[in-house]
Amino acid sequence: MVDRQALVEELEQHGNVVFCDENSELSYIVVMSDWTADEATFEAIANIYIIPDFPEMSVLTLVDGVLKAQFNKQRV
Amino acid sequence: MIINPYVYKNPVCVPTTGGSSLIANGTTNVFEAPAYGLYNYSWSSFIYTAGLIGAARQITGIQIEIAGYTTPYTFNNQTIKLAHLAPATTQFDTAPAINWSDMPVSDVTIVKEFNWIITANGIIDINFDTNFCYNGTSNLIIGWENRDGTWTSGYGWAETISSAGSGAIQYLDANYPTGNGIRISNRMNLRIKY
Repeated sequence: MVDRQALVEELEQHGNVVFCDENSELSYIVVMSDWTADEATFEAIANIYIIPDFPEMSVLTLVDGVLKAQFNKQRV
Repeated sequence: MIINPYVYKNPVCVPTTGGSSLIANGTTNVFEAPAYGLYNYSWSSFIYTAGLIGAARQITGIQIEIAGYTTPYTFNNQTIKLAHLAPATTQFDTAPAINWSDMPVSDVTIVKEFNWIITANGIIDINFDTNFCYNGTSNLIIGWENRDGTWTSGYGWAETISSAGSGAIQYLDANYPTGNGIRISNRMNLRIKY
């Protein structure tokens, strides 16, 4: 299970958390505004907190400081 | 300048009623189809070959298969387009044009403009406002334009089956996407209503 509180604390060091939670049973999404770091920084954080539970990052975009990412897992 | 060499004869629309069997019963989740809830705007498009569609007929609607939505979930300002596609074209280009300008299409028809309120997952009925007269020989291309303008969590996915180059997607927050999309190798599970 994603440690949401720890994840949010990490993310908040680089921007504002708009959404960070499960989107559906098979997907987890993160939406940040005013993201000041690069995508690699986000991926490093995601690798620690999200990837163990949602191993596939299907989308990562960073446009005008808005970062959006989706992570998926297979149905059981 | 792109010259469309595709010429076809006028179709004869058989006034039958019923529906096809489900075209594909895949279980691959494609979140970007038919509309992608993570972004304000999105586009998806899929090719179905003539052999899958069957004889000439009036297509009055479609059924698609969705899952994973927290209901109710609403996509506002949706547009579905259908068109004939030259029989020799069975895949999208590697950089598919969102406006189909790189595809030999004809009879492009807006069949449905609506606010899509999803109240349940599973097989979803979509009845057209304007029927599409399918000619029985061309491939069929479906386009789905999501111009909602907002994104909301709780979105799900379309069930699809693997099929090389038969799908295309794009998504954006700033505005409805233009230019090229991203080719994918999936197409939505679909049933033709007639």
